[in-house]
Amino acid sequence: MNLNPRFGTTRRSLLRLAAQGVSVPLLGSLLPAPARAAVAKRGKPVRLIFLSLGHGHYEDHFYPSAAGRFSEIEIPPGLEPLRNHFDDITMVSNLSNVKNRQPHGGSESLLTCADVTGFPGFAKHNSISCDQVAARAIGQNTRYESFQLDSPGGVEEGHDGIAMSFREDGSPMPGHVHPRDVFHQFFDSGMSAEAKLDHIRKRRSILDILHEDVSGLAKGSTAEDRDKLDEYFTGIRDVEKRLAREESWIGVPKPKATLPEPSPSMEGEASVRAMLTMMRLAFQADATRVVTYRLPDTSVLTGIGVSHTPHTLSHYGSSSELRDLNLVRTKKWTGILGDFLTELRSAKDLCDPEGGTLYDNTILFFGSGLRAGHRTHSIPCIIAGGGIPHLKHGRHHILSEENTPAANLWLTMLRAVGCEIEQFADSDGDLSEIFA
Amino acid sequence: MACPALDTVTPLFEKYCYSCHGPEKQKADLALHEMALTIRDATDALHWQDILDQLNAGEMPPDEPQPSAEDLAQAIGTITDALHEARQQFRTADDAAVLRRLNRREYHATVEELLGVQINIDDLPKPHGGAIDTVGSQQTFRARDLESYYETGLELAAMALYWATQPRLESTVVREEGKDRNRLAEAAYEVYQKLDEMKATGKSREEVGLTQEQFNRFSPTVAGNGSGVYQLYRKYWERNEPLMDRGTMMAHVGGIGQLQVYVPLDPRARYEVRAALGVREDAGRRRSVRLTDYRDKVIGATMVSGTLDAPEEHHFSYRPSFPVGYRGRVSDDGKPVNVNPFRYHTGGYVPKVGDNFLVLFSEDTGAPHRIFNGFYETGTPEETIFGEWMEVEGPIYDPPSRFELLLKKHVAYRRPESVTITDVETFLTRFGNDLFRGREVPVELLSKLVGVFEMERADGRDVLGALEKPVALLLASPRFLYLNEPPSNEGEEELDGLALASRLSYFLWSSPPDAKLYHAAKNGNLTKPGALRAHAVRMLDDLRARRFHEGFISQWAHLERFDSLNIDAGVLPEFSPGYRFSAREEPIHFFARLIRENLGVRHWIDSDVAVVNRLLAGRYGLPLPKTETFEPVVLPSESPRGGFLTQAAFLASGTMGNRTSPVIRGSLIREIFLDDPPPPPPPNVPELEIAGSELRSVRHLVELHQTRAQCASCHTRIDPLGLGLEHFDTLGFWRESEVIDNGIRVWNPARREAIFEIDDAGSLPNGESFRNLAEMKDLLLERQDRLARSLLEALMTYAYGRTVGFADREQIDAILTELADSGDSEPYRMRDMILAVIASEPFREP
Repeated sequence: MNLNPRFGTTRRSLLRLAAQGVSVPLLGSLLPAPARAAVAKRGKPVRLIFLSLGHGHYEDHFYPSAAGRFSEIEIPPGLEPLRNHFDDITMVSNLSNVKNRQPHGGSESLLTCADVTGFPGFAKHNSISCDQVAARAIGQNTRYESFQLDSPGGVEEGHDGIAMSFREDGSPMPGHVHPRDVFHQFFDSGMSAEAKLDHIRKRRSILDILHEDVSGLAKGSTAEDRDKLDEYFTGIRDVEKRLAREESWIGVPKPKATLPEPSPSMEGEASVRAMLTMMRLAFQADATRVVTYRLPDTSVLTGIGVSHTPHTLSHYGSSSELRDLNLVRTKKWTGILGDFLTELRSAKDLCDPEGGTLYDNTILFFGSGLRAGHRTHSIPCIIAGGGIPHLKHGRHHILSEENTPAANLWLTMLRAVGCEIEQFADSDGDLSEIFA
Repeated sequence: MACPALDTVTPLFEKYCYSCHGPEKQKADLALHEMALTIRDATDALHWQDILDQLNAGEMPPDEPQPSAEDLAQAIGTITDALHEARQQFRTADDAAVLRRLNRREYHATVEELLGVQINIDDLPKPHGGAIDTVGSQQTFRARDLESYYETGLELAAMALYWATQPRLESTVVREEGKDRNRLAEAAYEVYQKLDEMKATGKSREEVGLTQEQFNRFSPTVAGNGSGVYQLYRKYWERNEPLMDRGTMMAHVGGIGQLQVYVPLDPRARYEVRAALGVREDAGRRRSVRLTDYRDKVIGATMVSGTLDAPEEHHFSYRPSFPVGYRGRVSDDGKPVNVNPFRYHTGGYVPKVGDNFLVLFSEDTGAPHRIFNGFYETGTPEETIFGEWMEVEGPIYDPPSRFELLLKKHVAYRRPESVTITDVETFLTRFGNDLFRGREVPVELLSKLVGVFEMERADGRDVLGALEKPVALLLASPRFLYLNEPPSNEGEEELDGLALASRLSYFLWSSPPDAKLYHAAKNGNLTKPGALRAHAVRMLDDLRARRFHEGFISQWAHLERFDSLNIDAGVLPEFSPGYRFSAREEPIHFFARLIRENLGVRHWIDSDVAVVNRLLAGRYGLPLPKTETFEPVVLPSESPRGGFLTQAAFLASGTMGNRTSPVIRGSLIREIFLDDPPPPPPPNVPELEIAGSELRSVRHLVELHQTRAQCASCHTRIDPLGLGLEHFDTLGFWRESEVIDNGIRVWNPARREAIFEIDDAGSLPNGESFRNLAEMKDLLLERQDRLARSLLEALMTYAYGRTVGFADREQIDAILTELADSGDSEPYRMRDMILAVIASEPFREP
């Protein structure tokens, strides 16, 4: 039977992707061993920010129909709030998230490009997300290897699964949901170094006890049960790693808070803005260089008086009023993005010997794994920041191949931060065509 | 196992696809004529998935001739179903039972029971489970979980140690007279009388007898003093004055018109709440109230039927729950309760600062009143419910918990200096034994725990404080968190007694075995014939079985959909907290009754009895139960209700925004009642866009949806089923016609509405049609074996802690046959089904 998956170059087939992806990709080969050295060479830090909405946008509101300079093409109304930033951003069409097979949300496989529901087996499995590949390369000399932010509602906010960042073994890394928690992570608590050390020492002794306990339990168990207990072991090891990292950073004080502690009841737009500001402050303090954020779409919508969920809005077909509300939503988000870009532009990068701004040394992705409705073809994609060396902003690109894997963008971003890798997930090249 | 067949698609392929992907040409190296017309393995599945994706995306065939919409829909439907079936079959690889962790519900129930303190489940570590939360293979455990279990354990330990050593309070009755709630409004009224007098007569402030403070606070001429709200108070007083010396009229304005009682709340106790209420005759539909606690959680809701002259007494039971770590009187975000801001203005009412409280609200608070009065129900009075008084009796305590008994016996009753290491060891051993569900605390672990205790003592902590970490360690131990289920002997296929006892108690109670069950487990009686069944029967009748009723039905019937309903109460005021509470409770009590009376599964489809509280009874148009609890009510013959199918929570689960969704309702019926869940929507079907803003009936939208082949392929077998329920509105109430609005609030001139006739005709997935709801119910009843299978498989999954797959088919068929042929007129009785699961072999297997 002729099923050799050698398809023509004009059509990317799922068959081929499946052939590569159904057995979990050979991750080891993707991991950037010499990447740290590469970063050292650059001298300037580069940060990665991934902002994802679960759902996409209405066709006519967000996606320009023509390629070219923003000043020369027709601008859809949802992008109006970004008008002052058109020289700071790039839009890309024709990137696709083809592995997303149960597209009820656009975040779970966005950064991993894995088929999370793949055959055989019912249990979900995922693979490493690109932010985690980057974290290994550029996250080693910061307090946090990477940082995950999340929305309070999860699935209700239009996201699928429980995270957008995934470890090498495909296990999810749920993020901090409340600005208040993030505040306490990033800013100085006033605790002395001795007190912190004492805390870590005590925590270690607790872990030791649990470690021994679970070892004893595993002895009498069946192989399947031991697999399950392994998760517990891994949990202990991960906490140990975190404590070790915490310990090595004890001598370096956390920055003093320059904004008030977020109130426990903070939600919606205020919470998004607080999160983004703290992200900016964390970058200035070089606390981390890799951040992912599953944006709280429903909370923000509720806050501006739109009572539909993003999912309902994404099925905009039934009335023009739903479509109008889509525009309200899209503009709200592009407005928030614009303000964040302004913030990055006006923030000095304290780690940059050349005195650049955070904007200059950042690569920001804003988008989703869904275009609109349940469509995974040509996902929304805005790239901002000066971190990709050959990329000149100010244009909308329509990639020459339909359904170019989103992994090609991730590969491009990973290389820009110094990962010397050949391939990421199902990538079949980089996005150098947008460098022109 | 049979592989899903795809032969029927060949004619279409021959006609439209072979020209490029057939014997002559193989564009893209695809040769459809050589493809297996079946799905045997993952490779087949992937190939067919690729073809399906192309068809769904409308990309193939690229040119003329195009297949007809009907043919295309049929091919897409066939492939979709085959893939869906294949997915189910391949799933069996994951059916092995694996060690499972206590899920959030079980953890909650377990610590409440053993530690003796009531806590908010929302504060516990978040679950990351699969569709049914007892399935081990679908649970994940991460570093953050480990940390949060330990942190939670620390807080829980501190809380339990604190409350176990607190004296029990004398039970008292705190009573609030409704008329005492009106002082604020009365004060506002009096001040405004004087202000009016100043204006009318030109008298000075002093002459009319107003203080400077009163003038500053209340006069509309003083900018920014918030006098607007006081003017509302005044009007409220004027409207209701004749009643104000006997009680209060429940109002929409903050700070007045609610019955509110402050009591010190104890996490070890329950309280009885009573209130005397009446309703104005001209109240229209606003006749319900809800009782909420200090964190705005609804405790109960009811319909008021007393009158202004003869209020009737209502009665609720309340078990407060608290943030983990709660040790005193705090507000919901952990801060001391603020002083009531209004006390400054009246000098009259000063709340007992720092106490917690219970509030009785009129059910329409929370939605702007003008909706009711001006638009929603014209001509009704502003305030409708009269509250004469409210009282709270308590605290009423349960017997002390195991934790408290053991702590007092071994540690807390002694003077600190006389507590020996042996005492501490004994306490930790015995309590650890409870936490580990009857298994010993290993000596090594015990010595480590004692080591931690001694270290804490050396750090200067007192005896109780030094116990926090050891107890927290027990609570974070894998021996507590995982349901350890070893076989009775190495290599054997049966659980040992303790494991079997835990499996039974976590199935029926979501909490550990009680003393009787432990006793039977330890002396080996539990594995004797009949013993398991006898315990199961006893346990099904215990109050703790409520956790099973709730845990099971919430997941089987997907009530999480109801929980996450996002309806704007400003558009639909009847979507009130009291309604949400009542509708969410109804199926739980309904299920409990089916088990209690051992009724057949047909009752899920249609039943002559509803189990409702007064609020739902009122909204369903049924006779009101006598008490505030959920009671069986015999349905009048003309009532459309009966069965889960027509319960508000089920119906409202199938709501999208401001419309009913036959798609969701149809999908739910297929999954729950027909054991035939439709495949999930495919990616990349272009959204069908309907031009203009014309308001369309839901039926019309559904029909438009089906004009596209990619949609029709599945939706013709989903939506017509859901249409059978069109006589029920978005909240599940009966309607004679369908009102569609544009989602704009009622007072906004941009709001538009259109009214449509209801047609509840539809069809089953196999095309068999029905003319109305009654006929649909009949068709479902003819297929009640499918419902029985759906229930049985879900019960097995829930009970075994693993997914049920192909290997269990025989077992399932055998049980169903037995339940169908029980020799009476009522096949598939509910209690029998649960007992059959417990009697089944896999229940005893690790």
